[in-house]
Amino acid sequence: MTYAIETQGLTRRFGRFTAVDSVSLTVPEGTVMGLLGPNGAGKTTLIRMLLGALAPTAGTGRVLGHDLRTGAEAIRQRVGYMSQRFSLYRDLTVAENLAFFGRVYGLRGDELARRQEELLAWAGLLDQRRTIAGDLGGGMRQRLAFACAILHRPSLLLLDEATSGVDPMSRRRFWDLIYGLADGGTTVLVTTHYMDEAAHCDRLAMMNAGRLVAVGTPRELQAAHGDGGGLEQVFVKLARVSAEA
Amino acid sequence: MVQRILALAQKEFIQIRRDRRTLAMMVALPILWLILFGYAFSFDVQEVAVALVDESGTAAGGAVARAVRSYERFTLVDLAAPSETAIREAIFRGEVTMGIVIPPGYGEQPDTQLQVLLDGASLFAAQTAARLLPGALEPAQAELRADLEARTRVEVEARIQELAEARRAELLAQVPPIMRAQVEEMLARAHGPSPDEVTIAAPDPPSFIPAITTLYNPDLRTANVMIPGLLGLVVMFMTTLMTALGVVRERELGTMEQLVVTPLRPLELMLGKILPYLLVGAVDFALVFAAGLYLFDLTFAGNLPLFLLLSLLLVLTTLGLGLLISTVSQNQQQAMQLAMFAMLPQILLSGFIFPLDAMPKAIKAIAYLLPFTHFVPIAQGMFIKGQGLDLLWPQVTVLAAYAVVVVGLATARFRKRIA
Repeated sequence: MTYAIETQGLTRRFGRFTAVDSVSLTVPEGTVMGLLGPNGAGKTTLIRMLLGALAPTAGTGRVLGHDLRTGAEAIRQRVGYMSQRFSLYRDLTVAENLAFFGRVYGLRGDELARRQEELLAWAGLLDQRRTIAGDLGGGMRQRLAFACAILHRPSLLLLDEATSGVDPMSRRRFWDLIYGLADGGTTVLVTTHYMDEAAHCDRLAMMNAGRLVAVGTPRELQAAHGDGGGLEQVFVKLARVSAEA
Repeated sequence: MVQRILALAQKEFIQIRRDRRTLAMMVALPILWLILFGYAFSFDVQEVAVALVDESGTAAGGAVARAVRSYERFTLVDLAAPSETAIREAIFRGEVTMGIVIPPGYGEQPDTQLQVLLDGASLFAAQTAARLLPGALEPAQAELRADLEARTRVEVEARIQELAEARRAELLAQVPPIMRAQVEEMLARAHGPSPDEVTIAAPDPPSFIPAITTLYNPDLRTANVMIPGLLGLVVMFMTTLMTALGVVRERELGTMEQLVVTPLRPLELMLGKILPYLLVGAVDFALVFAAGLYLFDLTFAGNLPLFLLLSLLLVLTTLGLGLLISTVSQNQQQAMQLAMFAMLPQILLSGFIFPLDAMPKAIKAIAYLLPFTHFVPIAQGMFIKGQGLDLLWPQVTVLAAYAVVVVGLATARFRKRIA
């Protein structure tokens, strides 16, 4: 099996604080991996290291076959990233945002125009192309940010709480888009606080206090740590156990 | 209601206390301004650089030369070969603000006047010089006047004596001899024009009124001196502030987070952020330049391509400064404050508004540490006088060094901050 993400003892310290503590994680290609954990567990720091935006203090990692330390540029060209802040330019229109990110990723001319149309249709934003991004509703803005993140057809998608703050309808629509990409062979690593979303992932990784505390399918985690409850019970238990440890 | 207001105020105080930069600025800015407004700001130049050429060979000329030399607010600059041409040369080079030529036969031949040359490009120094000149000449004039009065008095007294003698003899000749003794007594008692009572107030001869010629900026117009500096100021203000804000805005809105995970390299990111503001600066530069030529009737005396090139050195420095500010600012408000903090001393101390020569030594030393201080003489020298690199190389060297250092620092900090 080939892995989109492989880390060995990946660690990041900020001064005396260890944000990510020796995380060894593998994510097979074409799967949807859910990364769970309480706030401050180190999920975002881990993702930033996987993006090559933050250098690891210790440990090694490969993303899409490239070393984290030396292959950051190659990684970025093939990775899509979206955070809960939906980092768009609020004073640009929908089309202008897409065009900007498309150009940053090296798309141009006809290809850019074609891809732009494709994604406008895909995200259901064809009628909003001239709307200022700041005027869009939460769900639309989220889909626009998503479209900007996948414009360059990334092989790996890193979604950091990308579904926070939108209504259930928009969330469901968003997940439909994610599954569509996964079916097409894209690997997805997604952090979320919604257990219904977690239940739909192929595999889950649970982090707490910088450590990876459990990895498995939702069913496996439920069996091992659920005490008869759902995933929420797993989350609460694992968060508490490591907090006490 | 009062409680809510107090709660809000207290929260505000806590926030201010947490933000050390704002706190430092709150303290530093009033102090800075006190120093600036209290000590540095004076249009009055303390010492004027003066060159003197005495071609008179007369006592009057000597007196004027002595007075000029001993006047405490004039610093005499020695000329290799004293002549009017040498003075004009020295003014072109900016070594001398005022030149005084005492013409041959001054004070003895009619229609001889002091020839005074002023450097209109050093506006405030020239104005000060023109204002100081009468006071400086006063001792010489007093000396000459006293001398003239004394000489005149001796002559007049002798003449009056002579006249009185003649008239007495004439009168006595007409009187019968027997009455002569009485008449003589009467004449002695009568109030005749006593020589002692004759006082002479000598009017100022035309030779005391100097003929003043102002070179380069004949009307001593402020605009001629301000516009060249303003070119740099506008460019500095726009590029520094807008670059800083432009970068910080990305950080504030979270788009920087997105940009750093794209294939954009830090250097590309930096250049991409800088270029638009470089363009903004160029447009502003062109606007002020055009306004100077067409609205204020200035003529650009120097080499324009060279001036543009040298202005680019300033722009590189100010863009770099903007970037540096962006790397230490969390939000746009902080960036704005820091930019003002960095620019205000440059605006006030650069010699652009207030003459450097009017500043106390300590403040002058600070002024020379600021990059803009070295741009102002370049702009003024090239614009007004048409100076070239042969004269401006010291300023150009400093400015170039600043450009290299600031851009280098900014690039390093920016990359570190991004990566």
